Amino acid sequence: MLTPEQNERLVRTDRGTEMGTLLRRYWIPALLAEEIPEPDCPPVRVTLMGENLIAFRDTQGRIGLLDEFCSHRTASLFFGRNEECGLRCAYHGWKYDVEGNCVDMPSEPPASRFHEKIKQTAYPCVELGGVIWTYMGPPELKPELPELEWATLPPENVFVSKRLQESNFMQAMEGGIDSSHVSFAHRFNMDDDPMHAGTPGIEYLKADTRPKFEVIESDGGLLIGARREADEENYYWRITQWIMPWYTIIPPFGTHNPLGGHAWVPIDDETCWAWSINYHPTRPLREDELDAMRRGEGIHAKYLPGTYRTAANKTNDYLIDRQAQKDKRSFSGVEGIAAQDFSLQESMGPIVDRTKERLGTSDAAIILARRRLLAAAETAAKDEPLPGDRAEHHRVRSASVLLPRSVPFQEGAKDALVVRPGEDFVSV
Amino acid sequence: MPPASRSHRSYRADVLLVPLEPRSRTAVTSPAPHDALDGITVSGTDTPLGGTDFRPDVVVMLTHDLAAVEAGLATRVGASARASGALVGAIVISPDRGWHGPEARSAAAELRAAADTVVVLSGMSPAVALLRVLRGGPQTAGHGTI
Repeated sequence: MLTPEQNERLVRTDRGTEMGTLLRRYWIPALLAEEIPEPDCPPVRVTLMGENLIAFRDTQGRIGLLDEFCSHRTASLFFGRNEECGLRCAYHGWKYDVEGNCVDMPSEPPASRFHEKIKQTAYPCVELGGVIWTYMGPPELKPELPELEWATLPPENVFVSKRLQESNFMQAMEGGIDSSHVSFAHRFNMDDDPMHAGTPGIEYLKADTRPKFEVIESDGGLLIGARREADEENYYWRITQWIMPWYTIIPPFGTHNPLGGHAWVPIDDETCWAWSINYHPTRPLREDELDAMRRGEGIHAKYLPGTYRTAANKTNDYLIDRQAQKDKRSFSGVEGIAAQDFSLQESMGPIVDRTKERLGTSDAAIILARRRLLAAAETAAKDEPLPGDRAEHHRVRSASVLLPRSVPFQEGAKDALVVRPGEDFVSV
Repeated sequence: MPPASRSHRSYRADVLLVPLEPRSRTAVTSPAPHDALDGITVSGTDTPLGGTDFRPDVVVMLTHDLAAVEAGLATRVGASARASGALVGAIVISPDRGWHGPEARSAAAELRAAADTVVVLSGMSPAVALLRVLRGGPQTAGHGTI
């Protein structure tokens, strides 16, 4: 539980807030590359941490992310013309390049140099792993580029989706590091995820629904080990990586199935983008896997057509099926692993009131993640280096392993928890 | 007369902190953590649970030095806590996040078997924050409360 003040510190991300200052010190997944697929394509609106922005890809393929509203009369650049290496406001023709320079001001005399004084807010962008990332913090503190494994692989090895989640980013992310919900919220649907298929791991998971937890501070976040009975000599460990400020890597099932991961990025204080990523380090994803992901199976979600909003959402009670609940086809009655998660996370309200909660020992990872974020916010205020801001913090993997009962997981799975390029991950 | 019911908002758990070796005992009785651990009962290691009517909701074992933990102690504390219906946690303070040597490894294995959750932390400050959340009740700012 938190004090009201601590809860506010944790969830508010507008510019100038503590958490907003912290989060702006990291590279931010801003939009899918497919949203601006080609040079001079239509610009798209992007809202990040309460800032309304406009993204476009210019004639030369460079990516721009500008303040949405023109510096002149604040008309939205969404209605602008993306042409000849710049985005031109449809109102009076002011034109900006990807760095926010006003490169043309046709409403003023040709000899005027007034345009040289105008600078539209612009954030640097980079395209990695099918995602356009931006950095919104002080330029002199810009960290190394993200090196999360999925962001470094060939495009054919990766599938990325995003969905609108109608809750604060923090409670969504807490769901991602809360391993104990798996045995309940997803109880009758463990076999539904095509990424679980054909593995002993899923059998261990189903056989022991009372895992025990070990949580270890890592350089970039937390290592969360969930331990289940395997046989007389071994435990089955599922080890999740939480990488600050908002990434998780889900423990895999078998090495033939792809790995999975998430990121939760604030749109504003009451909504966030839930990013879901499947990837395989050593092979392209198969067509049947991609089909399942595009259909919204596994960690992905079914959309309302033409949007990133989910078909099951709070306006329709997430299409809850009480008969499926009764028949034990779905523990919560909601269809799909992802929808089971976000329906419960959103049910807490747009911003959960953490003064009301009562946490126990199985919530240790959540407690420590909050503490690390608040501590990092204090570090960010002093412009010092942050956990999770270095590439080496990103080069980690989750794992699922069988280990002798006497072996600590951080020791027994040490090699499995780092990226070894070109080598398979470790999983049963 | 039964005790007045407590809402989940105000519920303050009875937490028993059990330092498992001398270094941890020193750490929790030094002024800074001790002040922050207000409302958390710190036990002696010889009679960690028995001998009183105190029935904690949560028992947390603490060690800074796994190699110095007496063999069998974590098992006894865990069994006693479980018998009283308490949640059982363990905190290992280990700045290098590892443990070395047969005694330490053996103690770690015992701790793992005895506790529902084991947390390995780099210092006492996050441990205090964790304990205060487990204690619950009205929270005040400061002392690393989370």
